[in-house]
Amino acid sequence: MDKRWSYLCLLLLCLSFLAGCWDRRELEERASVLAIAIDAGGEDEERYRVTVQIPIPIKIAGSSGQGGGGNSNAVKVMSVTGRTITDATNNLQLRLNQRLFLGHTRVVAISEEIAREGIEDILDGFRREALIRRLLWPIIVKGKASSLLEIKPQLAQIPVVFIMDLVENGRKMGTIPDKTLGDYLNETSNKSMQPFLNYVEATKREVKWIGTAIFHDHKMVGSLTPIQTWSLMQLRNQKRGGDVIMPLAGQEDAYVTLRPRFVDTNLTIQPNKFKGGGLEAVFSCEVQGDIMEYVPGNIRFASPEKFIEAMQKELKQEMEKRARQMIQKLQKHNSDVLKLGLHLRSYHFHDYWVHHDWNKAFKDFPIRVEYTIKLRRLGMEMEQ
Amino acid sequence: MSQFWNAWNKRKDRLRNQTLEQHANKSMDSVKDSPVTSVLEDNIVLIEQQFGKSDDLVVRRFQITTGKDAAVIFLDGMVDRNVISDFVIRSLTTENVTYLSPASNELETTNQLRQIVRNILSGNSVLFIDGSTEVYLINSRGWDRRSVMEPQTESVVRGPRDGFTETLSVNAALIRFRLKDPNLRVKHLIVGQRTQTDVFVMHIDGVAHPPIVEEVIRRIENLNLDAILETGYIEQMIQDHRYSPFPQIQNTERPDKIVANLLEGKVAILVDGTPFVLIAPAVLSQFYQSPEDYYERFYIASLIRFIRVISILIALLLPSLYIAFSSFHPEMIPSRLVIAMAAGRSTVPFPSLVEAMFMEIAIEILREASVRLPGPIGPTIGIVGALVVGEAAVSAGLVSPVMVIIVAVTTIGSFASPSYSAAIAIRMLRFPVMFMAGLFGLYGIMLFIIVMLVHLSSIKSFGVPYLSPISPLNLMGMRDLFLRFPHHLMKLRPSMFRVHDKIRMREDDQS
Amino acid sequence: MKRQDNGTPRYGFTTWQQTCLITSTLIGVGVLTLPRTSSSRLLEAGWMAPLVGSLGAYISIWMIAKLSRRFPGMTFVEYSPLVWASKESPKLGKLLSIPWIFVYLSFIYVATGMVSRIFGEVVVTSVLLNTPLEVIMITMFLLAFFLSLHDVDVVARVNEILFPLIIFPVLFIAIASFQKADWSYLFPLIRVSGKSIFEGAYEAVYSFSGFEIMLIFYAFTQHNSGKEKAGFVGILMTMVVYTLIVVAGITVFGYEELQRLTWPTLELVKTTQVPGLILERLESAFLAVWVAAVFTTVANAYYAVIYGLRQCFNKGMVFQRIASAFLFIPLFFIALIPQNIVEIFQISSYIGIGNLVLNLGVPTIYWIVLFLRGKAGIPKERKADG
Repeated sequence: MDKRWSYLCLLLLCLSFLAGCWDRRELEERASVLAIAIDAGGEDEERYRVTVQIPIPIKIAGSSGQGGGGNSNAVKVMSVTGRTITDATNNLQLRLNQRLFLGHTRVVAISEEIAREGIEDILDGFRREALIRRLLWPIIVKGKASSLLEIKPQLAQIPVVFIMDLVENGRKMGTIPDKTLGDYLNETSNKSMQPFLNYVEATKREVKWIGTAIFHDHKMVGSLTPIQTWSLMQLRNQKRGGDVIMPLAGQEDAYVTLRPRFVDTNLTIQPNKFKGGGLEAVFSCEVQGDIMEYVPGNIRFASPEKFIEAMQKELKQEMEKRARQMIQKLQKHNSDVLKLGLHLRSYHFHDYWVHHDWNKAFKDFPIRVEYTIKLRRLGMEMEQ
Repeated sequence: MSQFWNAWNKRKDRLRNQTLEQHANKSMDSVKDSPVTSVLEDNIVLIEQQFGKSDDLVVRRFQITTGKDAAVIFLDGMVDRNVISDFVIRSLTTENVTYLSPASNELETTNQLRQIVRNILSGNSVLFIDGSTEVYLINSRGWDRRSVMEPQTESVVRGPRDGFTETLSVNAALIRFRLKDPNLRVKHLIVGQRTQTDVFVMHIDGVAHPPIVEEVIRRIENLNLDAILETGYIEQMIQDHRYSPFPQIQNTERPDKIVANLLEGKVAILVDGTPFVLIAPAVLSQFYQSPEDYYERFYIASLIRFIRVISILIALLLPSLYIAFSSFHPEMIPSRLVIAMAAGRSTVPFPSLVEAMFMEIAIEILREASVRLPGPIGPTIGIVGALVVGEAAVSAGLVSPVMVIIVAVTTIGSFASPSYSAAIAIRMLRFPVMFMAGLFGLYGIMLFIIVMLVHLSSIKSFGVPYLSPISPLNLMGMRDLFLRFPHHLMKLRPSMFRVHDKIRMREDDQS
Repeated sequence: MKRQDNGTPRYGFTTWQQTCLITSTLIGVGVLTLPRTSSSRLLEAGWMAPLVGSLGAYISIWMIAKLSRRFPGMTFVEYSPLVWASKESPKLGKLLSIPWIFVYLSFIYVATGMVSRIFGEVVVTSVLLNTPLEVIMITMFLLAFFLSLHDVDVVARVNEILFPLIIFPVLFIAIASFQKADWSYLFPLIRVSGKSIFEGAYEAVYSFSGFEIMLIFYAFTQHNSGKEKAGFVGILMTMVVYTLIVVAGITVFGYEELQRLTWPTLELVKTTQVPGLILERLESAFLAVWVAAVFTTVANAYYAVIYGLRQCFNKGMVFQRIASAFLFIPLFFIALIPQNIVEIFQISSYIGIGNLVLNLGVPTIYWIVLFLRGKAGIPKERKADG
């Protein structure tokens, strides 16, 4: 008998929930924002201009047989200004008939101008927002960030999907570094390293990846070209990087193309033989790859073995030269994206880290790079 | 005013009790347990009185060769006429008999009125001889019965195709010939005041746990109803938890399933008049285990069983998952799919909970209606109805296309359970889960699952916890739980039924 | 309504059921904040915090199991008077044991309220953003209430069946996140002083609280089952799971970033990508599963309190049902006492310390008293029911 009363009370309490389903919001009531672009706002108070790209579901082809009208109108681009990011998004909400939903945001584009001033406050808002994924890609855009959202690529219906695929593909091929918001936040919190982000340029019709932007704390201090970025990726993440196209020494119009297949890097800290005392860092990098293209010059090689030896030697010098350039740039801007500081802190804590301030010491820290190139295959063609 | 009301109620109750008493006097208990007289005509009058001069009571008077009058009384339609005319009447009237031995297969004598009436009602004939108080009871049952056919609710691809019929003796025979074990015990009970239904309770002595058997018999004996029309009546009266949505006693039409369960130590309850036989105790595995699993090889059997379990989960949870994902957690759906789904939903004016309920209720109505439709129209309407209604609803903008797919998959999934009662339980539970999903999303679904698990943990079927062998954890019993281990690894019977003889397969001897 | 004969009044939990009970009660809300609290003092060596923090738990559970073996079939409420009574007046025992029982029960009661509060906070901040906190807490209370309507054996079976549901997702997340791990985040291995190791470990102690309910639940176990073994294995499994989570947190985020994340385990789920999986953002799914873990914590603890109360007043099942319905109301208000999230974390550290004191102190004192009174022998001729 009493059990029945208890069940009755339970039921009554449950019925009271019918009063509201607080979190329910239908799919079509939400405006999924796939990309956000942040620029500098014009006026004084309004520091930021936020642009968003909202897909219009009905116009997307392939859904219930309706819609399918022109790709160009499949998204709507809207832009507002605000004092902070959240202020701007709230202003945007005031102009929309649906609730902004940030759970699907994949790309945050930030203009170079703002990046150079520092993006700490932008990211603070993102940290606190529960819906933001840490897997989204922050991208630094040369010029105005909103230009990234206004492109009309023919290859995809929704422009942002095009950008996403670009980065995704590059990531899989190993040519574009996978820097997500999570990585960025980890690296800024970590006192021993600096972050970097992808750097793109957008024109009317297309998007071009032009390297990476390197940071010191939250400010952008410089950028690396694609070639330098590939060196960075080989040394830091053991990723392939892109094809290496090298002019052969001493010949005109002679090129060789190496496609790296496998990269293995070891970082060792050794006592410095030169400059008396201290430590130096040596990156030993082994690259295994194939020759994909050879435009021969004047010199003919006696045998394939000699060919391979000569190529390996020349490629080695070329790669080391590129790496040196990259490191010089990093040290010039005092941005340790190589994870050198992390390595020192982890493995050489008591002998090195506690005595030095890495912020200052990185500039002059001697770093050497040694490449070992191993050519495995020559492609489908055997003749030189 | 209230005085008048009370008086009126009292009078109503009194009248009602009077009527009840009158009717009660007419039931079987009221037949006096008295011996009959030796005068033939008196006996005939007595019997006719008992039956109130029913027109289907036939009294056939004749003379035996010894010169005495005799009469055979039976109910028209229930007897095999050949037995009466050839064996009883002819043998008694033509041959020279010194003692009476009508040639029939079953012969008993009695002089108790109640037994006589009961036998007439069961289709036997009674033979009165003038001058003797001994009355012969002759087995002459011969009404039309359905022949043994494939059970319609449980068909298999591989396995025997005979199913139980409505006749108790035939059913018992179907079991006996599969289980030629002298330890197979049958207890005969009569249940139901007016229907006086014959009930057999079967178990294997030495394998089944005696307290379970005794408990089953005790509960059936304590039943005090007017009518037992189907095993469902017995099932609902003796089950442990009346208010639980989950069946605690299994029912089946297949003899091989009964035999397999008897061999695992369970008790079978057969009821005259229905082909559905009960198995007690029953645990959760009844929802998805089918005898076919044991006839095929173990890889296939395990895979198919696994598919069944997945289908049951889908049938229970898929609409709720859809509601939860689309309304509460759209960030979980891949970005490209979200846009397509939003596009599909953009024409629908209702929230997804209402949309889902609407479609589910429509499908349930269709399903119930197609059961009643005759012949070949039934299944066709089901399919056509679903497709057409679905398409039309999408074009009209009432539901989104994703919803149609979900409802279709759910419906098909719910057919995968081999046990109909279990499938109904799942179908029913779908709606509260949808409701909870509409309130709290995935959290709501989880709340419901926890409530269900707590409830399942608290149910016992005749002392066996419903969730055995998962909890209490019994690793040996788990060999037959989701995967079906090869036969040579399942040498012991599941111990959750506390069997006495544990070994069902012995090691090969060298001989 | 129930037909079967009520045979033995005390059901026998198997060893595995006890283990499930302990582990699922311990794994509750602590697992979400553990990487952060562990590495707040210990920095990279945060993974040591669960290891060190569990030491106290091992000792404590061993003592509790031995106490229960000394008084088989009796709960804490039942044997406290026996411990405190002197030969002259058994009434003295009842009187002396009242403060202990009161402290014990009210402590668990308040801790349950805190756990529900934290649970509500997590759900409100990350999954159901617009649902009021009170509603979420009420649903959790309703679940615990539903469980407390049943007998003790149901508690054992529910824990047993929910146990894989709790363990596997947590393990899965820990292991799946290793693909994004950078192991150099764990080094240098030890750079803080030994003293801070203990200080840092105390943050982890909160996550090990909860097994004091075994003071009540051990009474229902079979007498010859391995109570100590169950306790030991239960805490060991919890420790392994916790260590894995902390290691995963440190290697994926680095200890600095961990300090800035309120619910690091949840963020861990967010960053996990399982290739080929249809669903992307798994944290809602993880939270749904984690509800089961919190349910086992809250409902078990609440059941212990109600059962203890029922035994105090020597009543039956009816009392249990009515009391459990009414005792939710003060619990609700207790859970609403902390005003903001910072206060919640402060209070939970205090509860962690209090818990350590309770779990280590009370059994120790009981054993001392037993030794002093010469009653410490394990009974052989004492009637063991169940």
